[in-house]
Amino acid sequence: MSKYNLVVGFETHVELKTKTKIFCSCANEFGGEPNTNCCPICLGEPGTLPQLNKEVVKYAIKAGLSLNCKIPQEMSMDRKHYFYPDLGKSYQTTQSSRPICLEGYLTLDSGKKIRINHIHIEEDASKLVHDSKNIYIDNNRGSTPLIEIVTEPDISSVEEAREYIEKLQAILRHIDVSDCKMQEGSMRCDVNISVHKEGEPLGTRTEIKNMNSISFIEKAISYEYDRHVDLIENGQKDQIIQETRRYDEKTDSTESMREKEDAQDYRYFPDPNFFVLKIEPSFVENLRKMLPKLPSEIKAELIEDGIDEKAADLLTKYKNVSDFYLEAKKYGDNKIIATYILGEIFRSMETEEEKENFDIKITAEDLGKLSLLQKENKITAHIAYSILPKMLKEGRPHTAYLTKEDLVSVDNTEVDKLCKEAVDAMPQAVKDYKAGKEKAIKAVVGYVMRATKGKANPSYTEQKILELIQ
Amino acid sequence: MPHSLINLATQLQRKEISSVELTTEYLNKIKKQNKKTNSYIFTNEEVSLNQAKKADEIIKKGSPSVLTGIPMSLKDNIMTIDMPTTAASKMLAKYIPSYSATVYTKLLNNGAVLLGKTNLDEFAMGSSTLNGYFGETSNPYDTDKIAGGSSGGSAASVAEDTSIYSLGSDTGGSIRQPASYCGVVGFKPTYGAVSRNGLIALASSFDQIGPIAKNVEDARIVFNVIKGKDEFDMTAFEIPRTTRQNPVIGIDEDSIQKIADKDTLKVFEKAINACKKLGYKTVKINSKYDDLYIKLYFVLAYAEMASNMGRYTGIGFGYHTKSSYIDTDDFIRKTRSEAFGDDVKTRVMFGNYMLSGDNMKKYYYKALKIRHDLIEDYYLNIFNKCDFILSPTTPTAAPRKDHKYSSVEEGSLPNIFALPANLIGLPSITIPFGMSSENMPIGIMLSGKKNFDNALFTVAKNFEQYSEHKSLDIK
Amino acid sequence: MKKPTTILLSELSKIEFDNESLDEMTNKLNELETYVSSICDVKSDNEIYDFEIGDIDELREDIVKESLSQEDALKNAAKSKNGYIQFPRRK
Repeated sequence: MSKYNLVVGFETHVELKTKTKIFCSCANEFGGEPNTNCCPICLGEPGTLPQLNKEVVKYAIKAGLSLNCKIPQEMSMDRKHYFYPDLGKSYQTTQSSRPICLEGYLTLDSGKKIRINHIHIEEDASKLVHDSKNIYIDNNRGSTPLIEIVTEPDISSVEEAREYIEKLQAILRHIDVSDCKMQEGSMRCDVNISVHKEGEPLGTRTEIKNMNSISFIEKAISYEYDRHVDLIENGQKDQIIQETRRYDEKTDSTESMREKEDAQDYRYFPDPNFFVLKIEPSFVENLRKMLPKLPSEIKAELIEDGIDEKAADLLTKYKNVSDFYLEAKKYGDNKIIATYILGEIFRSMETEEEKENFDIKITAEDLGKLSLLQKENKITAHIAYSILPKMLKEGRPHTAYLTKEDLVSVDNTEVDKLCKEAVDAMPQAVKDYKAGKEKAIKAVVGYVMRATKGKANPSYTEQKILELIQ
Repeated sequence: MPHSLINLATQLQRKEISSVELTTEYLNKIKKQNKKTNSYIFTNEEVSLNQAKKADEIIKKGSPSVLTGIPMSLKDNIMTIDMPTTAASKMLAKYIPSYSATVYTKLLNNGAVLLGKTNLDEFAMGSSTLNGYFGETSNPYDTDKIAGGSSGGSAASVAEDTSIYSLGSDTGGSIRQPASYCGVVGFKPTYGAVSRNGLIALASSFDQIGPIAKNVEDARIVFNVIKGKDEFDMTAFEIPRTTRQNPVIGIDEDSIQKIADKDTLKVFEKAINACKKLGYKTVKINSKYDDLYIKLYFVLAYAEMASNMGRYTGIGFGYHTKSSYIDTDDFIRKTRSEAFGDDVKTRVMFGNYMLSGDNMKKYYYKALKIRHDLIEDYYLNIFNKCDFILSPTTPTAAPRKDHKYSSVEEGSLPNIFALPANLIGLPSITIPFGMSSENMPIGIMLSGKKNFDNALFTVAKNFEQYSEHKSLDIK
Repeated sequence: MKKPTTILLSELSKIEFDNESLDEMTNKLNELETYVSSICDVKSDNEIYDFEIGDIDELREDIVKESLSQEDALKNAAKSKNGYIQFPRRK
């Protein structure tokens, strides 16, 4: 099997979270009462004209910059024509000849660059609800702003596909242009797949439309890879045709959507209701300066700060988590905060979505201060971990849970004294340790811990005991 | 002399007459006259009289504008929230607008009174006002003749004095050609000078709304109210104020001689004489693109029309088929086939032909480039010699309704002089200047550089003094 | 061009014609195409075709304004139900 290379490209639609729609001042919100966020413009009524949202242009440029794109000095809008009940004007206003961003890339952990062909802005179609007899149209989603990010076919494994999407989500969330929630449709992927043997030209590609979950994308790519390879191996290469397919999660397979070929003449042409938009390099540079740090930059800084790579990865995967972490860090100890988040707090969250939202009852400041108490030996890790679940559940500050007793710090001279006492009291353990049984030292430390009711700093204690017996 | 805007504004402000009286008089006149000309598709006395009452109150308070209380009409492709807007199509026969065009809002803010909506060719596709869903409009000078189009109802209503002024739309001569046929002034502004918000789109890069009025000054006044930047139209902007001392007038004598008929040439001769009397220098000009105007229009404007007509599917608004259908496509197909007239169908089909497959590059993009060349050529080789271009508005006076054209080219000749202004985006005005041997009006047309709308009005007013036009006097 | 192209265009345009009108339309389209075809022979060195150019400052600010009421949004629709435009799949 492995003699066939997998070749994958992505076209990813991302909903921008601007306040208004792309061409009118209706609220960019949907999911509520149908047809309540619409006006003559987004309904496509006669005589209406589009008014491009300035913020959409800014968001798209930000996305382009964070994906290393070039921003050409001119962009224009085009019309793409097709008839369907989800498209009031019977054309979608999009970009084809002069998109807003060109030629970028996203770097995977391996250092491999996935090239971005271009990013363009466009309007979303309205939402249709189907039943056996009727189609129901809700125009609230009609004309909400999208960017479409189109890659070159540079992805060559299922793992790379997952990493590409996860990194893309993290970046777009960090620069705050989209929620990128696949399950809610604010990020949707069309995936192009082909296979070929090393050194041979690319195979015929098929496209799987409208994927809204990473695991389905993985499964669909695997399925489609196997299907292509099987057909080639069985001498039926000609049955791989350029077509659009749908992934069916119930059967874990893809099927042809059998679109009419002649219906695909979209007749793109420049929309005369727009001017060609000039984008000055100085405007782009200002946006570049305002961009927050990207996940890859934050991760590098965390590693520099002594956080290990795996933890740094997890802390920067979700924007809300990394925002919280960076804020908490201001008030306490970075490493201890990382263990709180990745340990106790993540344990309280079952789904990816909960981690994504990171909607917790503790403030970053409070968590930071808690870590400081631990760092300064005013409380032990044991105590911190025992109150964290309560804080998460009840939302009161850490001070509400700490008793006077918890807070009594143990004087180091007291600990030093106890260490001496312990070494004297446990000669067998000391002997064992010296004979190479490293674990034996724990018993001696345990003596001190018991004596201080867990308030001594274990690592300090261990250090002290080692000094005494050497 | 028919009622002009200025005269009536003076009478209204001196309270010699009230807007309610004036509006009632015009509404009665429409009832009588519409049987002959069918200028109006729709009137609503209640709406008009309410607006008139408001206008009288404003006058009483002493804060009127020159348009306050003056009854006017709008071409029925301009959205009005309080009257239907049909584009003279079965498709929109029952459509209720949910907003008003920017121009209408501006007029209402100035106290204008809307008498009704005037007739046009279906979706403004035509030059005759014969093919709308609500019947033909006749020329008030001779009801066997066409009023021209597509703003035929607007031009006829001003000529027969069933409105003081009207707004039309001009995509390839649709204001100026009917205004010329009906013996009134018609002005197409610089592209973008007036907001297109609320104008049912025909060919978006050509369309402009403009006034049709009884004289140049009236047209200027109305234009100054409706012009300007608009938050609802990205292509609308504020034109600068312009003047031109001792203007030079360019005349393309060769093509005029070739195309215009005897009567027209005779009237045009008088316009050339007027130049001399005014002390305007004239120069000969010619465009190397003049045999391409109609062709470029067919390719580019029809393509835009095909695209703009897409939204009429019967789903969100407009006519929808009552017959049975098997799927969405079938529903849309039946709806459009039942509701569009033949001219609309032809243009949509040809427009899509120009945009489909290889034709996109072969015709559409080629025509776009030539349009750009043409614009460049006008500025480099014509406007370097002259400030304004003078020609007859149409090659002949209004033809008979049963007149048949033998080819597509011949059928487009009535708009041949008007087209460059739409292709290039220039301001252009027609002034009634004389009468044909059959006593039909003949107009002359002046066009200026982009943004020179004000200067154009000044020059046009000077020409107007030498007009030998005879206005109608319908009681 | 020939009749099959007209049929294709009629599908693209979502306008249907009976057989006789198809022939008529084919003739009309042919006449129009023949007439405009000479533009293909015109030399054009220009690669630019922009009509209007504008700046970022001219774009709309991202400020929410009131939308239509649900009733007004649906008033021109052929059919509506529970706030949706209702469109029967077949009839």
